[in-house]
Amino acid sequence: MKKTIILLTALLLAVSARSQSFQQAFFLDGYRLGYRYNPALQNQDGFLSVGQWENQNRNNFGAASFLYPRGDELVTGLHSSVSAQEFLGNLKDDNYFNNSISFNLVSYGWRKEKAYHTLEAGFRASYSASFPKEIFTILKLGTGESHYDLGGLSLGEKAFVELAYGYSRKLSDYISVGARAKLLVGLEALSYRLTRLDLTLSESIYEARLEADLDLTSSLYKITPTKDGYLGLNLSSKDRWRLPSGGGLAVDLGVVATPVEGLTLSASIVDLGGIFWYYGNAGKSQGTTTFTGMDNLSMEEIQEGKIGNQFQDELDALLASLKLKSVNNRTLLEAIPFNVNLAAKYQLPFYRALALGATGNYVSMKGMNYWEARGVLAWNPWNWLGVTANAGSGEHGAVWGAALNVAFKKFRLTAAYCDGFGGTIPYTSTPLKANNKMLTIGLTYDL
Amino acid sequence: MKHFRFCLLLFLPLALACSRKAYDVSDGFNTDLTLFENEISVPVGSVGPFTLGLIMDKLSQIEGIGSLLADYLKTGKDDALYLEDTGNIFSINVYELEKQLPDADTATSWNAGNRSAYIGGIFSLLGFLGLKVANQHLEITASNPLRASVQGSCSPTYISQDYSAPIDGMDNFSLPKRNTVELASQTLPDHLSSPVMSLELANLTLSLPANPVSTIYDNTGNLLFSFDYKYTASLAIGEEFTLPLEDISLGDVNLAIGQFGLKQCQLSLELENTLPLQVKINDIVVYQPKASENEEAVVDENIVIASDFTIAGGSLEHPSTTQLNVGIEALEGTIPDLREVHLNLSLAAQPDLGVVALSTKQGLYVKNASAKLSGGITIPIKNAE
Repeated sequence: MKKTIILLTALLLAVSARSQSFQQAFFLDGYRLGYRYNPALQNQDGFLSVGQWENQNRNNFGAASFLYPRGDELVTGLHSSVSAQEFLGNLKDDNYFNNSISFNLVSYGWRKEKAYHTLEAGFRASYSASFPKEIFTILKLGTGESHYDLGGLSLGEKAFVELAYGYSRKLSDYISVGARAKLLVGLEALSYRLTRLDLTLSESIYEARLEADLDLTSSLYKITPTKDGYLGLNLSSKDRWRLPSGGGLAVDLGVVATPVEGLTLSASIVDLGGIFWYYGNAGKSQGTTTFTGMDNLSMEEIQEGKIGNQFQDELDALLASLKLKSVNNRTLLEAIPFNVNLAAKYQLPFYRALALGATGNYVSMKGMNYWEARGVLAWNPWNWLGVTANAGSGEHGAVWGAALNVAFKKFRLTAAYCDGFGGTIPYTSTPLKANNKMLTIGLTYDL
Repeated sequence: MKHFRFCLLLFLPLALACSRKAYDVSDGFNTDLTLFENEISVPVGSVGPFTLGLIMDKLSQIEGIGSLLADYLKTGKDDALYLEDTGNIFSINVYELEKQLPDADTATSWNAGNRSAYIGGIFSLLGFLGLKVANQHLEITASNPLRASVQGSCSPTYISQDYSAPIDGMDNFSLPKRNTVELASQTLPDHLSSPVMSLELANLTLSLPANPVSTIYDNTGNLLFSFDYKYTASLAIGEEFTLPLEDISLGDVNLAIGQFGLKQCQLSLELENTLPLQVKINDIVVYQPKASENEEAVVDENIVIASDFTIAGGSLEHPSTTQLNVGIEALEGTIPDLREVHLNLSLAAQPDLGVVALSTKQGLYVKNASAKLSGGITIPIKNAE
C-alpha cells in the first residue's frame, strides 16, 4: 500500500506545479480567491471553495532547442547539418524546467465589518531540473577551451502542505491592506546538486573535480546507508507514516488602492518565507578523477582488445567519486519562491463592465528567476460572468492568456489558461520554445 | 456579432500556440550525432615499451624463424642478446684411426693435417646487414676415448672477414684418458667487431699408444677423438648498419573507423628509443579497400599521412627522445576503414655511438601520447522510432 502511495505521489509530482500567482484574479470580479494574488483583495460576502487546481510549467528552453527540421526529417542539435552557432545559440547558460502544482483542499472566507478573513488548507509541490550549456558545448564543439565548469546541474522536488489565515481590512474607501500568514508543513523534499564539476580536458590530462550534495527528506521512505557509510539506491518505505519532515512559515502582504474612481492599483508580495527541512537522508560526494592516458599499454593488451580495461578503471574511479557519503543530521532552511505582483485596472467610465489593465510579475526562485508584463482586457458584464484576455511579454518571450468566471446560482466556476506562442510537438504538450504555461481551474460556493 | 468578434480575438492566440507539424516525432527522427566538430584532444598516455625481447618472443612463436632464432640467438643473464654456435672441428673413430696408422703395434704420432670448421652460416650474413659482434669468445674442447692419455699439438687460428689470429694454449696439449677437456678459452679483443667465420686447427698431431683400439674400454662407449668449438658473441649494431625496408605491409591493420566520419587526426607523442638505431619513416600509404582478393591494390590518394620524420637512436644509458607529430587527413570527405597500410622506412646506426651491443631491454617506448581529432566524430545510431 505504501509503495502505491509512493507511486501515486511520484505520478502526481510528475504532472504538477505552481510558483506564480494567478494574476487574472485581479480582473475577474466574481473570482473569490483573489486574496491569493493580493491578500488585500476582499470579497463582498463569504464563500467556500474545495479543490482549486493550479498547474504551472516553466522552462527556459524547449524541444526546438534540441530538434531541428531538415528537409523531410527531424535531426538533433548534434547532427552535422546543424551549426554550432544555431544549436548552442538556442540554449541558455543554465537551462531549466520547473513544474509546480497548487491544490487547494479547502478555502473559507467570511466578512466581518470592514475586515475580511480567510482560512485555507492546500497542498503544493514542485519539481525542477537544470543543466548547464557547457555539456553541449563540449559535445558539439569538442575540447578547444580545455577548461569547463559544469557545476549547476541539479534535480529537485518539494512537497508541502500549506495552512493559511488571511486578514484584509479597508483602511478607507480608497485603500485596503491585507496579509496572510502561512504555516508550511513539509512532506518531502529531494535535492541533488552538482555544486562543482570542474573539467579540464586537454591533450595531456582529463581531470574532473566534483562536489555534489544530496538531500532527501521524506515522511514515506528512507535510504539506509551501507556499512561503509554510503548512500545507495536501497530506498525503503518507513515502518509508519511520520509527519512532518519539515516546517516553516511564510507571509503574503498586499495593498489595494483606488486613487480615482474606476482606477484600482494593486501591489503584493506573496510567499515570503521558507521551510526548515529536517528528518532526512543527506549525502555528499567529492573527489578528483584524473586521466592522463593509458599507463604502459602493452602489446598483449592491444592485440587482445583489452585497451578498454584501463578506460573502465578510470570510469570506475569517476563513479566512485560520485558515491554519496552519508551525512548525519543535516538540516536545511530553504526559501520558497516568492512573487512580487503589480497591477492596475481601469474601468471605462462609459461602460464599467469593460476594464483595461496591466500586470507585472516577478518570481524569485533560485536560479530560475522570472518576470513578465501583460496588458489585460476584462469584461465583467454581469455578476454571473467575467471574462479576461491578456497578452504581453516575459523573460521567455511573448505570452497570452484568458480566463473565465461563470456562476450558476451560488456556484462559481473559474478557469484560466496562460501560455506562450512557441507551439508544441504534435500529439504531445511538450513546448517547442521557452515557455511559461499555467492552468487554473476551481469551484467556489457563495455563502 | 460584437460578442462573436470578441471571442474570435480571444481565441486567436490559441491558434498561434498550436502544435508544429515539422516537429512531429511520431515517425521517429534522425539520431545520427556528429560530436566535437571543432576538435577534441584526448590523452593517450604511454604505450609499450616494445623491446627486442618482446619482439623476439613474438618471432619465436613463428614457425621457421622461431627455430632459427632458438638455434643461434640467445639471451644472457645480463639481458644481452648474443649469438651462440657450437660444432665439431674434427672427429675420428678409434677404429678408423687405427686403420690409418702405418704400424698400429707401436706407439706412434699421427698427423691429422689441417682441420677447420665454419661457424654459424648465418653469421656471415651479419656483415652484409652491417651488424657487428662484440665480446667474442671461443672455446675449444677435445675428447679422448682411450684409457690412456694422449698428447697432441696444433697451430689453431680463428679467421674472420677482416682478420685472422692464433688461438693461444694449444701448441702442446694433453688429453686425459677417457675425458673431455677444454683446450682453449679465449676472449677476442674488443676492436674485432666482425664475427669469426671459421676456425682452423693446422697440423693437428696426436701421440697415440700402440694398438689404440685395444685401449678403449669397450665398443659401446665413446669411440671418437673429437675437437669441438663453442662460439659466443654479443650482437651489436655497427656504425655502418643500414637496412632499407620498403613497402612493408602492416598486415594486421583492420581499423573500421570509416563509420565515425573522421576528417583529420593528429597524433602527438614522445618516442623514447634505447635502440642504437635511427629510424627514418619515408612514406606511409593507405590502400583502398579491395572488393575481392583478386583485385589489384590501389593507393588511396585521398588519404594523406604526414610521415616524413626521423627517430633518433639511443642506448639504455642514454635514451633518445624524439617528439613526433603524425597526422592523417582525408583531403575530401572522411577517412575510410583502414584495411591495408604500407610503409617505407630505413634503419641506420645512430651516428657517433660506435659499436653498441644489443640487449633484450632495448626498444621503443611511446610516452605522453595524445590524439587530436578535428572535424567531428560521427556516431551512427539507429534512428529513433
